[in-house]
Amino acid sequence: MMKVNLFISNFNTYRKKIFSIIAPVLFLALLLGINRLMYYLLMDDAKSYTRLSLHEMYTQEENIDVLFLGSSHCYRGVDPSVTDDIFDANTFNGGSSSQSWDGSYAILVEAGKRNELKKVYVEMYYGVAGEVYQERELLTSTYLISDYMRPSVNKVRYLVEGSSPDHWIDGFFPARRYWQKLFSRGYVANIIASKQTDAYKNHEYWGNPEGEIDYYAGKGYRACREGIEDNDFSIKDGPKTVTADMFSADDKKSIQRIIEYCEKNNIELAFFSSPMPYYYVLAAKDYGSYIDQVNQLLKESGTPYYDFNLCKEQYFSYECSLFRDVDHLSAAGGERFSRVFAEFFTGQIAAEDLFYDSYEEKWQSMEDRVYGVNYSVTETETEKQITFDVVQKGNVDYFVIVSKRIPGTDAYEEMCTLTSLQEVYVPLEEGRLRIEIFQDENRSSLLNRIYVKY
Amino acid sequence: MLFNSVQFLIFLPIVAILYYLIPRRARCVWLLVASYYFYMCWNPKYAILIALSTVITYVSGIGIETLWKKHPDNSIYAKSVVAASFAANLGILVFFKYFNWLLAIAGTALHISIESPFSFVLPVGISFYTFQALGYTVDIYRGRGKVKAERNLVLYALFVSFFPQLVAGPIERSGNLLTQIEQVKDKKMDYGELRDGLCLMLYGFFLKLVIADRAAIVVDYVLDGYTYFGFVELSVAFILFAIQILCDFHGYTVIARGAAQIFGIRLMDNFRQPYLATSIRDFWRRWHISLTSWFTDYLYIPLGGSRKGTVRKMLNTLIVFLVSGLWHGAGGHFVMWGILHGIYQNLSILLQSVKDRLGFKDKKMSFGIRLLKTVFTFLIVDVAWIFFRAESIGLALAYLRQMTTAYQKNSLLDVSFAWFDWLILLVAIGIMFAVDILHEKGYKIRQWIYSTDCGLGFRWIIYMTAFWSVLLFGVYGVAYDESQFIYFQF
Repeated sequence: MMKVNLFISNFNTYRKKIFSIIAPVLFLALLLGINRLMYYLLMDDAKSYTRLSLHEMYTQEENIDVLFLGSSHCYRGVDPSVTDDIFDANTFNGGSSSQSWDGSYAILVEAGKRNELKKVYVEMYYGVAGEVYQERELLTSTYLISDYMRPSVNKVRYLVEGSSPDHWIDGFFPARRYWQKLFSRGYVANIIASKQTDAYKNHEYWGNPEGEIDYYAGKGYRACREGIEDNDFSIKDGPKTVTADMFSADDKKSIQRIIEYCEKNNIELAFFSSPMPYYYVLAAKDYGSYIDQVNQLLKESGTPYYDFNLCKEQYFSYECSLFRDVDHLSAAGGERFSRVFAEFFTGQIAAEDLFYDSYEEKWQSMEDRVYGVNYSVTETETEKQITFDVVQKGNVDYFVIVSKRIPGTDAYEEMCTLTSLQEVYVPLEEGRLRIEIFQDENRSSLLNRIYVKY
Repeated sequence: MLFNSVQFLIFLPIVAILYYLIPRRARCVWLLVASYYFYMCWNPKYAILIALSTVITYVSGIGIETLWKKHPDNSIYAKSVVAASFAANLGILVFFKYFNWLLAIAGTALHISIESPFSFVLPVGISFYTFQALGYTVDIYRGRGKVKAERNLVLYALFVSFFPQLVAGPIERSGNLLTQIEQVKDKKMDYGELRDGLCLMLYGFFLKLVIADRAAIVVDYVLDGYTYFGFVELSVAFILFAIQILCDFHGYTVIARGAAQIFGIRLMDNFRQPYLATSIRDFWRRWHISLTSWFTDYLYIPLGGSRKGTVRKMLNTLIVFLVSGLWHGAGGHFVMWGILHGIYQNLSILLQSVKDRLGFKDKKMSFGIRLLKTVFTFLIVDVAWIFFRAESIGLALAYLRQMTTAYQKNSLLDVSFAWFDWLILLVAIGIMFAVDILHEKGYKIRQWIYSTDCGLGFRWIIYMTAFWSVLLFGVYGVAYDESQFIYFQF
């Protein structure tokens, strides 16, 4: 009897000990499980491109040989369906919106775990440069990647280094970012419904669906079937301008990591910039200085950098239909650029044929004319003042017709004609202006037709 | 380092894991290092003040014990060491906390402009650790040589600086905390203690993040623009402030108790359902218990307590609350808050005295009477909170004046507070009061959760619900400023 009691007592002690070891593991497992469930219920990602592209990257059966990394300029620029053939390899576009170089490094490591990468091309869009990662306020671009990264030390490092501690919980528990949606009537039901479709479950809704201007074309590439019309190049308050010190210490560190990773793994690495419209390059002000800074940054490692904004017109024509907006390529532009890109990197086009030697040389080749307009809106008590900054090369004469949309219609009525566009006053109500810039008073040669919402 | 910061959520597990991994005799040194690191995250320089206070009271303790042994019949020697220790410690406290304020008062009284030669931020938690260290000195003195002073400087330094309770209490007694610290080397890791500690912390975070910091949004919005609001809005704001300050301070204490329990150390409970008090005296038996008992033991009783008649008792009470007000901060509004509570207490004493003379006996209260008394007590406490919350007496009076006007430009609907924020706030307050009522009735909720009665599945549902409620509905992170605990400023 005593032996039985002793056995029971020992059994209970051991049971408690075992449970005390299991409990934290169980807690963690439950935590992660519920985290996943909450994410499923609250995260509206039925149309997320990154979800598709990272899933495709993780699940590709064929080895990824060539990887492209970078921001939207990358994922709208390099089309693997074009580059596959020219590289004669399996290429993949790992770009994501506003992807900074820490994001590029994170994806590179993820891709490198599962593939024997041979070549990596990293896009150097200047707009993402200059961030101090611990001071980031908006982390949408970080979450776009981290939300779809598989659990790993790389993911933890990416989130911890890429944001201040204030953001960590939002990063590791994405449901926290959407908790208010719990109280939005029908939201959760709609989310569930959108995720119950076969397309969502099978990560299959790419292709070229009818009615979709923007679509996921596969292998990380996003296409836009429509190009810009009538040189409608305009940005409220203008684009980010190039400064003398574009790269933050964090940027430099991430770029260095990419270089070291590729060196260590015998991967051929090159940096590049996708082409942007002349308007954008001009509006960035001292764009030549940015090219110099990138070259300076990469000088020590000897990693090559090619800026396709220096492309000669005969290879890439910069016409507005090749762009979906002021700085991204359309499907047609992407197709054309991908071909030039791949032919260049496979040695089919020589650098001296393809590029101008410097930004100055490129600048000289550009026609003197108006390329677009930046504007800003200031509200006073009685009216709105719209101030314009005409982006032009050289001192050219132009003629402007300002029209205002008739409310409730698509028609415009002419407000005024100007010979220099500086400012226009409009009533406080919301509306839309059409600015038409002609080369001369005869209105025979339209340079730009720009729409300004106010 | 705030308890509600991610840094603390990383710091605590690291300290705890290493605590259980390193040799047991090194635990106290490790906790001491961690405690100083914790404090130095605010201001490294001010760690010198804790070290100074530690050394002074450590040496005083040994000195007092030795002098009692040498002169068992003559208290003057030991007393002089106590006085010196008080002078030194209170000197530091007064200098850092009250010097500039006293200078400003002197300037106002003399109608001259006196510019302070010193400009410094108040050392976090100075009032707490100073009182804890002084309490130790008095305990050794009162022991008349029978209570041994701590000889191990590491253990004593840890008693003064133990990080969970370093910056906002509870103000521990050596009999409780120091004794446990001495036994740390013999303690084994206990799953039950760990679990209880974590559950306590979770409840503390619930109080702080879900209730206090959410209520603060409304309170700050209304009181910052009080001239745009009328009676209803200001009343709601002050009721919410009463809830906020309870959940903020009580939340801190509960997190501190939970964190300490992870190391096998049990801190005293600082709150016992204070808003369920049925009288002002009852309230003070439940609110900031460690400070109230400190004042009772080390100020009220030495002043004569209730032993010298009703008038003296009332005077002593008034003095204690005046000092209590001053302890909370250098400002006339804190003094006024203390005086108000002193007046409440004295009225209560007078009422009791009248009842005694008329031969009224306290009968068991009916539910209705109990409820009325509870509501009344809450309301008078809340009136005093107006002075506590205001930055000056003038502003407190302005709040009160504004409450009497019907003028109202804004409404509570203007607060950037969605309907579900109100819902979360009200439900959370309801949960807090439900927990308080169950505790009041003697139910031990945590023990029930851990017991077999609860059932494993249900227990884990409770854990997960609590965890996710805090995670999702807590006010922290990107959209909000990480808000400091109110009592840190004291």
